[in-house]
Amino acid sequence: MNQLLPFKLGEETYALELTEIQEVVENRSVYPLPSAPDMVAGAIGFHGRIIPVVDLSILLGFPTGPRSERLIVLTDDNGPVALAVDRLLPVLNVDLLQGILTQSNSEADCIRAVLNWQEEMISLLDLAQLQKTVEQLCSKTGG
Amino acid sequence: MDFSKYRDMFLNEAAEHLQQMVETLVAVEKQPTDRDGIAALFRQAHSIKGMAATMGYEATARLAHNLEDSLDICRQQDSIDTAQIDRLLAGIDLLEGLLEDISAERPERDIDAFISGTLDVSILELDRPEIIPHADKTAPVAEEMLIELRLDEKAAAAGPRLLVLIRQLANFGAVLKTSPTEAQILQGGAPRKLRVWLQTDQSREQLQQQLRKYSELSDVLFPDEKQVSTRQKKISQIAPTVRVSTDLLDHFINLTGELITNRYSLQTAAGEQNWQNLHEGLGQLTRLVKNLQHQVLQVRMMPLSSVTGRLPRAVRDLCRSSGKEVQLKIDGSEIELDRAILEELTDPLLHMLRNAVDHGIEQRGTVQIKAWRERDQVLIQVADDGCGIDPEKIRQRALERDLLSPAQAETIRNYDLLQLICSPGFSTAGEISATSGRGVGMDVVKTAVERLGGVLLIDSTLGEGAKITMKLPLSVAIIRVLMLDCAGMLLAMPIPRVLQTIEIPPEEVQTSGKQLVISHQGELLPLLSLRKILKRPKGPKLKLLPLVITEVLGRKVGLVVDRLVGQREVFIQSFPAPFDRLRGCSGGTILGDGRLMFVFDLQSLLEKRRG
Repeated sequence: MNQLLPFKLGEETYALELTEIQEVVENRSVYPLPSAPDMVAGAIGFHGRIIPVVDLSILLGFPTGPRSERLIVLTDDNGPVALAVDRLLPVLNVDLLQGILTQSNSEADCIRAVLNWQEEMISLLDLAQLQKTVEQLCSKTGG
Repeated sequence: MDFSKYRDMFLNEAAEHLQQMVETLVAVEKQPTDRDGIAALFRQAHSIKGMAATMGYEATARLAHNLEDSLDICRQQDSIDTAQIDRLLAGIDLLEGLLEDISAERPERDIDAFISGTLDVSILELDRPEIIPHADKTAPVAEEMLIELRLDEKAAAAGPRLLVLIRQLANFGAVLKTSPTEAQILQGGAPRKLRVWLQTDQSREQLQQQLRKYSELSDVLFPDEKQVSTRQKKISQIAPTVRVSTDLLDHFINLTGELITNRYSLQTAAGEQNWQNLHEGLGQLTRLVKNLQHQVLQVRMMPLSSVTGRLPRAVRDLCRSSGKEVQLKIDGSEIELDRAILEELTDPLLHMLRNAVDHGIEQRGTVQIKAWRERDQVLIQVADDGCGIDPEKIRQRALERDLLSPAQAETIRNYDLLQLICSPGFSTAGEISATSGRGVGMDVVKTAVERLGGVLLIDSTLGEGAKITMKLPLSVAIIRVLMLDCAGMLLAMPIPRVLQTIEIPPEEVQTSGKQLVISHQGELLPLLSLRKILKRPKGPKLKLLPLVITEVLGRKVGLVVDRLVGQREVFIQSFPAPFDRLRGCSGGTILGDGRLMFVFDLQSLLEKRRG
């Protein structure tokens, strides 16, 4: 069994595996950076460290709705970075081997696989792909 | 068992000996009959030989022995000549290459050409091409291998058996790590499965055969764990070491003790709600933390000589290739700086030195490197007594390269003109020489200095030489900043960048063409709005405009902000990758109240807006 944390981006449901997540933080002030691409919402102080916050809706091209007060801080080997999402949903227990509908290989969408959960499509976020996209955006406005 | 520890010690010590040998050789060249110098060289070559032989680095030992032999001849003659020095320097270069091989765990490179004398040492240039290491057939490359051993279900005394197996594997190579560790096994945590990371030149088949002898093993596997093994390798290779005096370590222990005591007295005071004691405890904590900060910084400090040590050799080589006679004087090499800053200074210093020898000094002269401290900054100056920088040439070149408009070229002051030599792609050297003048010189220096939060100042009088000064902070991690407010953001600027802060009434702002300017101490300064640069909406009208006078691209400007907050010493964290590549802002700090403040770099913000 795998534990997933699903969340909303626009009308779509995405999810991350709990093992990829370090902590979900609430009511943390996000401080905007003086100069950064739009997808960087700013940074937070997290256990004495400065962690950048990526706005997933902007990064993946969704209309930006009211942002959740909660941020998903990924584990250090996936960042360290915090993701701002629209809304968090309750944790699911899923057998990924059973539930996977399609493996995705598309470069652009940052989706690892899509699974069908009680008639709802949940896209599993591809963190390696996401990291690459963020890296490109950072170097473009930098470099 | 921990062979890598000894290897690192060997590498460190050998590198130090080599560095000292280079310094002594350059000094001895001026006094070829310096018996003490020659004797010291002999001893150093001898020590390297001994250490390398003990460690089993055959080529390194053989080469060091060869150098020792040549030095023995010099010792008997009581003198050393230039040809001998050339050969010894080339030999030291080759030894440095061998140390690189050892550090990268490659087989040692071929030294026969050098020893047999077929290698022409006189053509070795300053920018030595890397000698490609040859794969030596007699010493197969030791590779890192992950082996998984599974004990038979029925095997008794699993713990001791696993320990025996680890010992056995150590015969085939170096055991880097085991899971569980030996200590865990000794404590009784003996599973049926053991993973061993082994550095070995044996193949899987050979190992399998050797291990087949042990009947208690039910299975020997070689799982492919690339990720784990590369990460493992990274850790064993990087992590440079520092030597810390035992005095300093004792200090740390004492401080830790005091901090623990302090913690308990604070706890008691808080429990009793005794404000007086709590207050005193906090005062003591402030003192202890300050002391700790000072001591930790001390560990990071290294003398400037650790980078200037290589310069006499560089000057010697430059003189040999250009036929000039240049004397190098170094003052203040005992000044200490944070090691992170020193590492960044190696290339810029070499660049400035080459510039001075190549473009400054015509036939003979002196280059002086001087370092001194001014409050919490270190100034390092490279000065030559050569021909100086010709402002006319710069004016022309700047016009050709569109760095100045014709109108600007006429009004610009000579001092400001000089700063233009740091513009990317700017070079006044008539022809491109082998060592400098490719137009990538001074902008590299300037970028490196500014990345460290410092400033580069250029001064020159035609016919009297040039002086280039780097103003640097003592430490990169903890710096003094000016805090300011802009569009609701709290931002920081390193103090070395701030020339002055002033507040002026808006009526003093004049226009010059499209540009807003103010007159300040007899100069017209263009005004820049930080809000505009950061693409934020216009702010409310202020009775007094807060201004930071700073320098951008060698020009003084006034930066308009919302509010000047004050100065503070802060610990700067850089953003985690890839966010550290964002231009204009590469780090920040967490203030006592939990707020975040970011350090911005005006110059790259402006460059970004233009580009």
